[in-house]
Amino acid sequence: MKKTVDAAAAKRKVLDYCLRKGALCAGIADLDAINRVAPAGHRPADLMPKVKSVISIGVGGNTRGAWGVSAKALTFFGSTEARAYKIAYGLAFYIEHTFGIPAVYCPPDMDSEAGARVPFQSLKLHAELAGLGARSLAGDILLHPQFGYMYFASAFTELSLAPDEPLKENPCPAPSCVAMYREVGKTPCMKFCPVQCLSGKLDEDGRQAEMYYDMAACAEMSQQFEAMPKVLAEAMHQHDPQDLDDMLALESKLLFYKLSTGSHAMFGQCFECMRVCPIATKAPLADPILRSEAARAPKPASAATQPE
Amino acid sequence: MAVQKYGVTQDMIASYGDLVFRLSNNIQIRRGDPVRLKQFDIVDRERADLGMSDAEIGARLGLSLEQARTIRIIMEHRRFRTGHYQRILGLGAGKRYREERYVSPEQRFATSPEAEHLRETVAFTPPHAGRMLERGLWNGDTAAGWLSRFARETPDKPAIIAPDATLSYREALQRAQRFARALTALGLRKGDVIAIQLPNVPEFMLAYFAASMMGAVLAPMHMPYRAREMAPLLRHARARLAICGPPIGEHVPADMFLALRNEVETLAHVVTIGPARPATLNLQQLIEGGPFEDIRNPGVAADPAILCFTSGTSAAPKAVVHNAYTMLANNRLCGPLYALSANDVLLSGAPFTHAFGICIINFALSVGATQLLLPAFRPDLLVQTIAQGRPTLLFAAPAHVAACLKAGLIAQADLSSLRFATISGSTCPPQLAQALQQRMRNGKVMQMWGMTELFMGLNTRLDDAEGVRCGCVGRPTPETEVRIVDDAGQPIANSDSGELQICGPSVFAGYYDNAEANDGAFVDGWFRTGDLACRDNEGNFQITGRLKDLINRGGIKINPIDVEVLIDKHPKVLQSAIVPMPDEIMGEKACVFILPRDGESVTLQEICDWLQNNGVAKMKWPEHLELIGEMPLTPTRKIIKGSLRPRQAG
Repeated sequence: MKKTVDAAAAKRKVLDYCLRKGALCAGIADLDAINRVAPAGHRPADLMPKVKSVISIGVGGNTRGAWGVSAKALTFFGSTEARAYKIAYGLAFYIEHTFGIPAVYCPPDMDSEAGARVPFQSLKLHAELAGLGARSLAGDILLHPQFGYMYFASAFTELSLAPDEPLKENPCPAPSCVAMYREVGKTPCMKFCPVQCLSGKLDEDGRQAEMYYDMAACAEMSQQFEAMPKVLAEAMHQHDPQDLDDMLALESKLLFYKLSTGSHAMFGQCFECMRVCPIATKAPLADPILRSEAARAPKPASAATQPE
Repeated sequence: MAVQKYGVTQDMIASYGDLVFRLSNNIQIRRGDPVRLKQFDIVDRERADLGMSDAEIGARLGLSLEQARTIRIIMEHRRFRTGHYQRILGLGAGKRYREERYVSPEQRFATSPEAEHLRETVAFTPPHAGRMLERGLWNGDTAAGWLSRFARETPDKPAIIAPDATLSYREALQRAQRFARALTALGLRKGDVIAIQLPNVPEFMLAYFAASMMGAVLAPMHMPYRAREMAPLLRHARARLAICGPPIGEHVPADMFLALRNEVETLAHVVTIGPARPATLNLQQLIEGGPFEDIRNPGVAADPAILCFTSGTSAAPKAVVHNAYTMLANNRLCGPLYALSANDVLLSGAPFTHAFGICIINFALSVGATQLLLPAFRPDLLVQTIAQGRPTLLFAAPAHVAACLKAGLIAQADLSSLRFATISGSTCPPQLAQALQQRMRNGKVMQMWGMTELFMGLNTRLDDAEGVRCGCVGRPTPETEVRIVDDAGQPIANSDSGELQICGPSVFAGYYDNAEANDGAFVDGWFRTGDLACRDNEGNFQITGRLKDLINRGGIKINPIDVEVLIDKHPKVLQSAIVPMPDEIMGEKACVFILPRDGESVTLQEICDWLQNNGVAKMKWPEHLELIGEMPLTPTRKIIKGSLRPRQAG
């Protein structure tokens, strides 16, 4: 039997749960807006038919020093999504226990019918509409002016919660990036991308006019699950057994290691665009100590991103 | 990837492939910020650029979802390139990727077919290599590595002292690095051969260090060589660049090498330390203008490092290739025997164009000592350099010592700085070593035997008695195994003379591109030196001759070396050499070539009387004599017996 729920109080409880469990921020995405943007088959109702609310959770938390580590190590530093998934998973139980209303953890996985790079749901879209970040010139990676670069998770529920608004302003590009663009025609993320998968244009006011993202090139760099079948196919076409052996043993050995251990290494991005991003690397509240200090400060007007 | 699946054909892939790839998420273009601003009309209008799902693509193009997906996946599979993660693997902490600086591993490790071919020459048998590496007799040391180490540890210490310049370790490293970068900028890569014909000047050493840094192979060419001798060697080595010195009289080395480019297909560049010549590069300018880029594929110990010619014919030169494993093993292992330290100052009478000279460079480098340079040997200059430069160690050939003695320079020379003087390069008469020892108040005369093929094989030790140090070439260098065998290849007793065979960490793997020379060069892993030797009960070796110099007189093999030593003592004789002479009855007889002292002449009868008076058996007496005005000598002052052709005896 469903309990009678105070929607405003429920929202506070839901968001407070997320922040207590380690989220940098959380918010409610506008379901109608999601349905207008997401393609058929990838809308929340395709996963949970009676969904009424989409709760988005942002997790990050790299130290500033982490952005200075070697590129190959950064691939490990950058991946923090597991923490977000854990919170969303717990949140679904929390909602059901607290309010007696069904909820689901939104699986971050790929839609097996749609290929290796198409997820069931766009967690990024949920986060953007929930006000957890705005699309950047770095391949639409969401950036938040206070929390910087985050990973996202979502939970769906039949509980009705009032949606939050997207960010009023897009923090990307930062003033220093605008200055660089005017100097050399590129922002740092464009200039230092290892596969040059980014380009774009700024308008006269220094705002994003166009973002160009060659996701295929980015995937060549970092999403090695795409490369794996290619490597195997190339190996199968080797006529010389020694060449075949070399191919499988040298370059690809690392790939096999990664697959066998499921370490997620490089299965996303290389983070080189983020390590040169002033918003990602200097976000004032990405630091949990600073964040907790902020939490002890007088409560701000918007409750969506701060614990009670 | 299978086709015909869901009705997809190759024609469909050709027709739809590019468009499906672009419409999908593979390429994403966003104008403005329509999602954040909830501008849904723009989102709808620009959906194709934002990236579409397979279903959306199918609907737009009139394909089924499955067909759109299949085509997309096939296109992705075809287009995707592997190995791109290599782009960031080398980025250290705080470093940013820069497209203009990226060099793919394929480019970075690219080597020429000639370099690949040369590399085969240092392919040791796996068991041998495994043993050497496991026991630490081979390690990662390189000449460049040693230079870098001492440039770091003792940057201001003199590494090179030449008559007109002194270079500290830091300066030597910096110049060599810039030279290496300049050579790289010229297109030279790992394994490319750099021919060098320079005297013992700092530029030789800088070139040697630079080659080591970039993994190029230095091929020293003896100074007396001219175009006729040089052409077959450069061709054989597939030299890509030649470094030469300033004009010597009317001979202009740069012009010679430029002309040789017509005969040597691979020779692309000529670098000179002399005055500018058209179409040549100036070594000093290359160093000063060398770029600052990193050397992307630096040399390592396993790479071929040096190519030295020993003998052979113009059609089939004998080229010895060493990597740093074999080249530096002796230096590392013998340093303690000589109590080498960074305080030592080494002087080489031997030219750096010879393996002996290279060995001396490496000795100094191995401990961070100083190399004192004598650009070219002349008795008075050697004595003067010792007096002024105060070396602690001298390395010289018997001929160097003999020339100084003959000129009467040793008696007055100040040799007080010398801890020891090592004589090597050819057989040293004991009386010559003793003569030098008598004039060395503070130091000891030592002897060393080696070959280009193995650098050092035998040497005397500092604590050996004077009789040993002056009278033989000592015992095997550390970790070197030596045996003496008879004609049948069986090890023989100590006092008997037989062929010296050797194996160990410094022995090369085989001659470069010379199957004939390699045939029989090794037996069961032992290198056949071709030298004859015997061993005393204390294990000290004496070199008694060359196998190919033996004279087979009616089945009796005569070793001419003892006879030569006696003839050299004849008052009318300056130098002698005995070689075989064809004979219809005996097969071979002995013919002696004699360089008489100034104004003297000598007859066969006088020589035979001399030998008889010294108790030499008649069968060993030469049966023909030829007087010559000049003895053919190698750059290390060794007699080239192959050049002595007896006229048919009457």
